[in-house]
Amino acid sequence: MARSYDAIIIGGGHNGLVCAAYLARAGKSVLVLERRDILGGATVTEEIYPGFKYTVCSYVVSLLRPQIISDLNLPKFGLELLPLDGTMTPMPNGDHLMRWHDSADTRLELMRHSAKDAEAYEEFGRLMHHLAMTIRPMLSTIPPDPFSLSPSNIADLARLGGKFAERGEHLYDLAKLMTMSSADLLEQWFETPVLQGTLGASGIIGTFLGPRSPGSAYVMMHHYMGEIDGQFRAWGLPRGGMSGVVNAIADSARYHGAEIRTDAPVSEILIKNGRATGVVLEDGEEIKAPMVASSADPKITFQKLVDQSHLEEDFKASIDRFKIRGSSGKVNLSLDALPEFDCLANIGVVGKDAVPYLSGAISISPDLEYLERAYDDAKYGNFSRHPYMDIVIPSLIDPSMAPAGKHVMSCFVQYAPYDLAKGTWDDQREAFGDAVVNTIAQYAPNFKSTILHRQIMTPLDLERRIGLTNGNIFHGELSLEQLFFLRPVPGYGRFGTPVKDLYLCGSGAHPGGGVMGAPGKLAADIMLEASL
Amino acid sequence: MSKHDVIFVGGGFNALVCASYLARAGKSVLILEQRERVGGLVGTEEFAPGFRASVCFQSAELLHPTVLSDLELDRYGLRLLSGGGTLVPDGDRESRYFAGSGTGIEGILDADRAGFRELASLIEATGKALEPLMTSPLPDIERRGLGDLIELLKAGWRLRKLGDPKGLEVMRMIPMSVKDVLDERISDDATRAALAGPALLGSWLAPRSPGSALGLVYQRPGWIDGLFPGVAHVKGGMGGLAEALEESAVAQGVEIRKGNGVQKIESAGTRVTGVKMCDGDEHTAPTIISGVDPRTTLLDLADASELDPELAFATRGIRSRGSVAIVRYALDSLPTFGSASEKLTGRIQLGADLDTLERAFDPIKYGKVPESPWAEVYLPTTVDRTLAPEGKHVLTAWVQSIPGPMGCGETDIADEVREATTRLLETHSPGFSNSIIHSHVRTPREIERDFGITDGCVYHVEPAMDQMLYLRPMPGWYAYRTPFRGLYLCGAGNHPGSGLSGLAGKNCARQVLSDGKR
Repeated sequence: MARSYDAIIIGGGHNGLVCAAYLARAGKSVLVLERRDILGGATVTEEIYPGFKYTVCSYVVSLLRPQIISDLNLPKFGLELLPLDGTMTPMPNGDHLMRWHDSADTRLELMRHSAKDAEAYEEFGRLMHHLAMTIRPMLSTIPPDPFSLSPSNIADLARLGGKFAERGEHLYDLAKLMTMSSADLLEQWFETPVLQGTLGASGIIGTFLGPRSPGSAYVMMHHYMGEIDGQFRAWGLPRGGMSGVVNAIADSARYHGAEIRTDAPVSEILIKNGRATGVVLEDGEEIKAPMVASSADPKITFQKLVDQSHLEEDFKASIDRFKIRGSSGKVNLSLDALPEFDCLANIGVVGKDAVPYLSGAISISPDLEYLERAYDDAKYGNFSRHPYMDIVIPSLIDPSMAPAGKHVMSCFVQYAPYDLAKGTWDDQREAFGDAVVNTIAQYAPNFKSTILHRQIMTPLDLERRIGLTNGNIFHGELSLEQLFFLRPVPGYGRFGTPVKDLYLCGSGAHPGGGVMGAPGKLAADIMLEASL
Repeated sequence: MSKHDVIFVGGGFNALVCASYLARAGKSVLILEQRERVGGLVGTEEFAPGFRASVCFQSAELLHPTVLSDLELDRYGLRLLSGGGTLVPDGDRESRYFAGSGTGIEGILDADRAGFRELASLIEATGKALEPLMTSPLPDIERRGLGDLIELLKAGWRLRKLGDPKGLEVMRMIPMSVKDVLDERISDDATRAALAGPALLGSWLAPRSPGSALGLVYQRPGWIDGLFPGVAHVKGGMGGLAEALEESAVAQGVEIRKGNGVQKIESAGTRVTGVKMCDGDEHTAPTIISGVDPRTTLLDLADASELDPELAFATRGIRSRGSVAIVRYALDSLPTFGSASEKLTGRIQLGADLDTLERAFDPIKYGKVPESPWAEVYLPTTVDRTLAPEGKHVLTAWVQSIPGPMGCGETDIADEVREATTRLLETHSPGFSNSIIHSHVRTPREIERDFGITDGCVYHVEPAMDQMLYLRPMPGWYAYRTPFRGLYLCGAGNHPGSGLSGLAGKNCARQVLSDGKR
């Protein structure tokens, strides 16, 4: 007789595990089923080449909810976040822009580029802070249904309205920010192209938008939210790479009694009389539970795991329309030595002195036009010839990531559209890797000769290896029509689905992607409420 | 020195509408127009010997029915001539033609019928839900008065009444890109292009820009039937509309002075007192209404130094980038566009798929003229023989995504635009170049020069999600008021904005009258 469970969680990524941990903590018996032999999904560290540990997909923790860290007691289970300090943007003319964690240092650096911008930067930061604080409660709120007249829903709506009303003076700014482009916003505030480019870059990450696309300003603000939470020590690189955070969540879940199985791919969600009753694994094993939550993206959940006969036509059409275009790739490298950037050599910063400059993020975003042109390539089905990149060298922060004296480098690359106009990703993979390496080499001439190994993750590879549909890192685009009560699809913004007792708990649900944990936690809240 | 209740700075289309409404309510009104004729971008001019054409806007079908009847425009000489639907030529391929509505729709492929019906009902539902918010000033959300709260709840209720999931589907559609909305429902390139064109025209957006779907609703609002309304030509060109408005206003006692522009809006602190004319004359009035675009009004005409820094910053943040060139041709013969001549009386869209529209947009981002632009073309002489000599014709092209001075700086792009436009026309109607007698180009630079609109932005304030409703022309200043007491804005840069509905002018009049009662 197989053991019975109160709930089954499909997928052992960070959201599935957070969901499981919260359910277990409330006394439920929970089983997590992970397809791969390793937990984490897109939040993972893998030793691809001996001694070199790659943060294969996601590469930084910035939005993990502080409440989750404390509820699940993650530090006790081994989570240690090592701070990433600053962002360096090398410029084609041999200069650079350095934004340090310390605001006085940043101000001095900005003065070098523009006194006006140094002044505006602090004011801009204050505005973003206010707006992020206004929107932050939404990350830990289950979206009310705007059309439901049930008393509890109206109470939820009123409460949310009240939270907004407290910040009345910022509501117009917020409405504007939600709907405008990051380029329009930044050009209104700043005159230095490299500052516009570097700030604007955070507005395009993970999206199929350019900096001139309306909606990109909202994505940019998302990153300011990370910086605010940073005050709660939730910003940085986990010791041991991204698996550091996932292992801590998994250990916390196990501590509370959850069972976690790897190498256990689910092939179907069992549905009887419109209710989810369990799952079938690929090897035919059936496991029953009165509640099932899927942390796979909505497309996989409803197009692969659920028999189509259980779904209404309208809902199938909505899932079909759910936008999940992949737009980014990842290149992970093993290096024999640190890259020597011209922009640092030009100011006499070499060798060990360069380490502080390289220990944060390195952003390839010289100006808005550069980013926009990279987007133009992608619009018509080509990877960017001159891509935007967000680069981190984890081994500088956590030496255990690479053999002594050697380094690992993580390059987040955009744009890489899943659907190519010409050829396939299997033919284009190396050319894509070359575009990345050549771009970096323009700023760091020694770079090519230091590369020992390279792992190229195209959107197709992200789909094959991690199971991200179309390689979309957020399980669905973070565009306005797919946020809040509209995420993933209209009418199902509260983690429930048309199939009773089947829930979504991954990034495809509110509030969306990023190593945040919020979808998993909020789904657990809803499930616990339903099981009372 | 004269004494009036209200002085208008500029006598453009919306100012004429607004003035008429105020005069009808018993106000004494003076309009001060810089040029020799009123109407602004709504006008007719002789652009080549014997050839006359509308200066910018081409058709009047968006005119709100209440404006038409309240101002008795028929009585004052407005004659509308109905033109056809939308023709989409495609180089060597057979042209496609779209017209009609409901079950009488023409041009939709069988495979797309269900999707098209769904789209049409979605846009119609959105239009109907929004119409009450467009035909009056927006409910005041700051004062939180009961009446305004009820108006807002009513708007929400109308959306809810659309039913689940349609109400949510409407909310989902508004921030989307027009391409995504169309791709979900329509498979045919030409149909998609014909629908997207009007939604994008005059904006600084492309098919893939989020929020461009809003244009579908704004250009096909609740009072318009179907997604391919026939063009409403005005007899004698759009100047016929300006003249009817002028006569209607004058008949109500509005005084109009032409040929002398306002140089400065005078104020004591932030309270306006009157205006100073270019020739040194002065006029005082307790209420000044500007039909000039918001940036020019607040930053150039009013005393911007009186604005507090945050408001000045917000005002400078109003985006008014030009994006349309008007190119007109005097022609020896009628171009064919691969179609029967009766299908040439409506709008002709040169740009037969969304990628063509998208690629034509890319260069403006870098301040450049597209080599292959797209355009919306009109042949008014197919319905109105008064505009050209016997047997000859006029063609007007709205060429999209042409940068203004803010984008291309000092570079004179007029010839480049002319050549690109002629090439485009030649592609879709071979032999076109040989029929040209004369051509006339206004890029945004010349629109700015001739009509005094910031960067030649034909809608004064770019239509985009973040410059609509409560954010138009700038956040919180949606009620036609300005940071200067007594100074109002009535032009296209205000809610509901883009398109010749006359509602900005009408709503402004209503706001001024209700403020006067407070």
